[in-house]
Amino acid sequence: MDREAFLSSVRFSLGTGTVPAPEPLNGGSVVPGLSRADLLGRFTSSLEAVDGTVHTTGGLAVLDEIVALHGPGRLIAWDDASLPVPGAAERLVAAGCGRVDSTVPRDNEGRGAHQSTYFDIRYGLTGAEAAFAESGSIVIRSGPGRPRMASLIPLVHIALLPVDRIFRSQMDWMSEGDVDLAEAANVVYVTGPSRTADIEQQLNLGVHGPRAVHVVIV
Amino acid sequence: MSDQAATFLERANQDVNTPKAAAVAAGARLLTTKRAAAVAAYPAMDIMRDRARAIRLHALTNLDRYLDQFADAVETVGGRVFFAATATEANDYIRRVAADTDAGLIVKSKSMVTEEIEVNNALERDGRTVVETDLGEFIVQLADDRPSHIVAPVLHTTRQEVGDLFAAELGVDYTDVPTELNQIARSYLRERFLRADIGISGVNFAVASTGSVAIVTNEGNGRLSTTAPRVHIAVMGMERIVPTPEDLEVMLEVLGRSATGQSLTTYTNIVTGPRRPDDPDGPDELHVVILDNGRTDVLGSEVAEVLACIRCGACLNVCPVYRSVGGHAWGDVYSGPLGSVLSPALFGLEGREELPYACTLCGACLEVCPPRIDLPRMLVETRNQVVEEGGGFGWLNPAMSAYRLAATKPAAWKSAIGAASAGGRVSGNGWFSRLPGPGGAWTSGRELPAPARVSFRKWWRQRDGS
Repeated sequence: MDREAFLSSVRFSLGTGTVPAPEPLNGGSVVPGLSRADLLGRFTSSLEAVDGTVHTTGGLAVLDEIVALHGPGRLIAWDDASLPVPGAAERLVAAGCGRVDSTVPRDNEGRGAHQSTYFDIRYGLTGAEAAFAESGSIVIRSGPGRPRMASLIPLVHIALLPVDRIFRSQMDWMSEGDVDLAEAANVVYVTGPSRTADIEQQLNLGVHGPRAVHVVIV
Repeated sequence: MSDQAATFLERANQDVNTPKAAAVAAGARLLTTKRAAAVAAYPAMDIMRDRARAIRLHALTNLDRYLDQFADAVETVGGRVFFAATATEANDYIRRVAADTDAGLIVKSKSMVTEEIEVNNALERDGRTVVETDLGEFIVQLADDRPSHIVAPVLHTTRQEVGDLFAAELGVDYTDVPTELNQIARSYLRERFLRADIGISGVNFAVASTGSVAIVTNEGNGRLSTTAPRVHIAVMGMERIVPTPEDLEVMLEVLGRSATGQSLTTYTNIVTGPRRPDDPDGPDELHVVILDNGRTDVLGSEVAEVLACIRCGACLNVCPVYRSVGGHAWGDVYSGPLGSVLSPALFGLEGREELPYACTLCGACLEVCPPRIDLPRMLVETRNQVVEEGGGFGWLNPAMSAYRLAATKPAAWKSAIGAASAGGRVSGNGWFSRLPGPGGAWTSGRELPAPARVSFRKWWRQRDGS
């Protein structure tokens, strides 16, 4: 149906409808702020509550521990220029992880052939442009050098988060962070590993996305 | 989308007191407990619910303007928008996109609106394969079953049933260990995600000012379906609109907590247009299908407020009727108190006359609804419509006339109360354990408080005289 015809039938219904008028709102702040130290602590406990891990000390040296924990495997990584600190991908490669090309060809056949190599990627390395203390979420934005698959297809997702990018909640990030959603094709809030409770309400991690999420504070 | 059993009562009678209904009830109780814990841990919940309500009602009141703005914004970032008046129009458009893409395999992430329009059937008739990727929906699809809950589709299915199903349909060895079942589904579906030609998703919220669509999932299937295939088709009911990203944040604050007791669902996936020129991955095409399918009629009706719903399922979880009979009794995609209002409004009252009566008017649904939708008012309104159209419980009218007669004439009232006291067997605790006649149906499963042995009038006179 043509857009104008569709909208004019909506307009007609609005003329006869009974959508209630909302009650006036109380203005003002909803929740008190937190100090930076509290933000990190809160973020850590929130992410741990949803089965993620936060590494607050050690910087990139932590990457060796992560590979020791999960074993070496293939890696999709963001470009160094898109990460808050350089050298993370090299470190993972040095620890025995083979890096996979992350640019998906645009033609149909090339696309399928390329993505078939993604079946058993073990590690994905990304940055995180913000984090929410209240929920334990990290924000990941797509763009050049920032493949979406890196936080999605691997068994283990490693995200590098600058400590000054932790906000109280998504609402604080949106109001303080000068955010433009339309700037990128994809912005995702990741809150712990992939999970399901569909079968008899029993929790299972890693149903389609990563089974483990490590946030490394840098 | 109606079941073989013709009426709500017939379907409910099939399911009530079965293990299936008990499993749904247990799941609903667990979700209610999780919600309560999340709300208790979040002092701003009441304020955010007020804001959520204001945002949803404002968006509905200005829906034409926001839909126009949204469509412009999607086109600005390179997406295509199709306005579908009916399910058939929506399906025909999706079939055309599939034909243009020469799509063999289509993956789908969980979406109630695509269940509503039955897009899978339309695509399968054209010889295309459609695979559901939410674990619950995947199980429903393999079993040729129907979802029993809008958030947790297989509350009614046991892990042994899933084990049998996977062994029979996927050719794997039987297991009923959930982690192993999960692993089987992960491998099977992953291979399909990576080679699918089209991904179809629903839309939880559409942001008018940016042209973004937000899709929330816990498993990550919503992200894979909208990232791996070359073409992404997002299907949304026209009422999914919120004006700005700030409004989206408010809705997200209440959605996860209300649905599953999570501060945020694991993945909040915000898609704004297709893959950009220098992006390394993502779909090359984005199509947004905006569906009416009866919604303008609802918008122009006495139950317009139901369009503020954000499909969290909290009203199902607390509903005593839903907990007794499970979701299948409703016979449509939408069950529980939401379904009892929305389905007759969207799909017509005929054959759905019993739905608004599948309700005790206890008000629990309003207590938990994030945008505080007045479902009890609209359930009564829907009952009014049933009666106006001559259906429903017309036999109650003479009964109510008799009651009015008795209640307004003291002598008649006194004798009626006397008859009630004399008619039934009163157990030791002052309750009727068995009533004669039609009242027996009530007392076969529960007791009714018996009238006091001494009436209040009599007691008052005696007290006065002392």
